[in-house]
Amino acid sequence: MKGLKLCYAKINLAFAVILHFAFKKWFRRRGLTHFLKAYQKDRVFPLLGEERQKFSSYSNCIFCGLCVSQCEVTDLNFYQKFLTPANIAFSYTKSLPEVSSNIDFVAHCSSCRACEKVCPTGVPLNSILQFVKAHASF
Amino acid sequence: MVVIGSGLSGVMAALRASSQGKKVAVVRKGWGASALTGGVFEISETSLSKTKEDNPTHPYHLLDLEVLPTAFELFKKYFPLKVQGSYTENHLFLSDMGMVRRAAFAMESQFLDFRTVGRKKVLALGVHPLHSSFGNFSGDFLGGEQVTFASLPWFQETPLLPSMVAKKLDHPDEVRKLAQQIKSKFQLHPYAILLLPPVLGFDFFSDMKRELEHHLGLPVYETVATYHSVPGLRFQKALDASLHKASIPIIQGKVKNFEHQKKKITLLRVCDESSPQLNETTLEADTFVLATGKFFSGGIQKQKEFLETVFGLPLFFENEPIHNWESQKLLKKKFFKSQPLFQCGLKTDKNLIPLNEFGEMCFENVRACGTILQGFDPTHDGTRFGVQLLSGYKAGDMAV
Ligand SMILES: Cc1cc2nc3c(=O)[nH]c(=O)nc-3n(C[C@H](O)[C@H](O)[C@H](O)COP(=O)(O)OP(=O)(O)OC[C@H]3O[C@@H](n4cnc5c(N)ncnc54)[C@H](O)[C@@H]3O)c2cc1C
Ligand code: SF4
Ligand code: SF4
Repeated sequence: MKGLKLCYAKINLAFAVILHFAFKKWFRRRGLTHFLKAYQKDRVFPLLGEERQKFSSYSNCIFCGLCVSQCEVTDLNFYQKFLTPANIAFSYTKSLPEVSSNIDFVAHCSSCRACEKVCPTGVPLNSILQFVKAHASF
Repeated sequence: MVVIGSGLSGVMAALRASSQGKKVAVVRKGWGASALTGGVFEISETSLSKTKEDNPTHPYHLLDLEVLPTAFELFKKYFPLKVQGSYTENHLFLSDMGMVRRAAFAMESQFLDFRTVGRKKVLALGVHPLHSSFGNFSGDFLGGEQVTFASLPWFQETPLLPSMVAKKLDHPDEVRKLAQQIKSKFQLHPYAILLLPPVLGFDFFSDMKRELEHHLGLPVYETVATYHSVPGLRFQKALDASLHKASIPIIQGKVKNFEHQKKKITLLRVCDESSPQLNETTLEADTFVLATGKFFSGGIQKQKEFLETVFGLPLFFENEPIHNWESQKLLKKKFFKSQPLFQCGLKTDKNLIPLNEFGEMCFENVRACGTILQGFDPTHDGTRFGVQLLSGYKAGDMAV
């Protein structure tokens, strides 16, 4: 009884393998571009090694809110959809970069670096904002 | 003289030295814990002598308490905001979390001493998503029906952080809208005083307070801030302004390293990471004042061990060196004492010169002042304003 079951399972597996290879030949969808396209709507993208190294300093934000008081763009966009530099920096204290939710803000950011000048924990806000800008446009 | 750090103590040191004709510059990498203060300023929870008695390593033992009025007068000469209070007694203020804080001084817009309220009724408003935390417990504390807590949905669609709400309220039109909402939602005639969270304007808050009082016809005060504090931001901006008024330059940048000859610091290398060219400046001076604060501002850090960050000086808790303590030991709380972690700091001699484990001077031309000193907890201690002011004053004085 046991041997029969095993035999049946193996035949099934072999059938699946043959089917897989046969169909793979016809529906070939591989490669980085295809992969990225599939994940584009979730805004998943590959990170370069050097970018990954910067993440330890990106994650220093303690959400004290001091940088917000210096940002003129935050003031100007008051009645529109916006985020603050603090919210962007704070989102990098979590594991995955939340680029998607930050795009609206960085479009307005003028890279004046006023926010970075007051940060007590030395978060490289400008380099975070550049990172978001670079990945927001694809 | 070069002062490192532009918090309250650093500014005080710089003002004192420059008032005596010394050439001073302030270096800072950013803002520090002074930008988080709630707007009230404490000198001592009980009496000064009791504070000294209870805590044998408290910085007050090194400082001359008599000069407090002189130091405060000098500070007020340059500081653009109005601070009210008295040296001799503590006042009671309500915080936006609904707790009562005792302090000697408060900013003008927050100076509502609860002992003077008497039988009058107070309406305390929370701004809905921001400060919905007005609890009943403080209502009970203050005598039940005396204070009515309520929240206001006015900011529901916009606010993220109090500083943004405050900036929005810097315009008289917005204040008028807020006044209309308050009038339509509440019957104001039973109340004698209106308490708002500290978001009433950022740069023009005294004007906006008057504007709102004019619309509502009753006195308006702000509570003491806790988290994301607008009064702290106003305070730090005013500190920057007082440096400007005294023509003391602020150099933006982090002190990266230094050079010394025997026990004398000769120069500092300062690197401005927030400028595109990463330019490095060197600063030479006779005296260096270390006013870099504790953990929040980065004056003390744990890397491999707990150390002061600029000159690598050793840290102490109750005169005991802590550099090889485990973190857990620092977090352990004894019944009558607060945690060592927030109390640790530099051990100094009478002239505020930092000492090493053997009781010798580390560098003879360095003075330490402010929160970086050992023996008091800047987040809980009811003595922080007094310590900052006096130690800053003394460090500036000694440097001349
Ligand atoms: C959450 C919180 C709430 C508080 N609330 C109150 C309150 O309500 N009332 C009150 O009286 N006190 C309050 N305090 C305490 C208050 O922070 C202190 O009383 C005081 O303002 C600190 O002043 P300071 O000058 O010692 O240091 P800080 O204000 O911390 O200044 C340190 C300065 O040193 C600079 N610095 C640090 N390292 C370097 C470096 N390597 N190179 C260059 N610059 C450097 C920093 O950029 C900063 O400018 C609070 C503290 C905290 C953390
Ligand atoms: S980026 Fe810096 S200033 Fe802004 S909230 Fe974070 S720690 Fe504070
Ligand atoms: S660099 Fe961008 S986020 Fe920072 S203060 Fe300037 S506009 Fe605001």
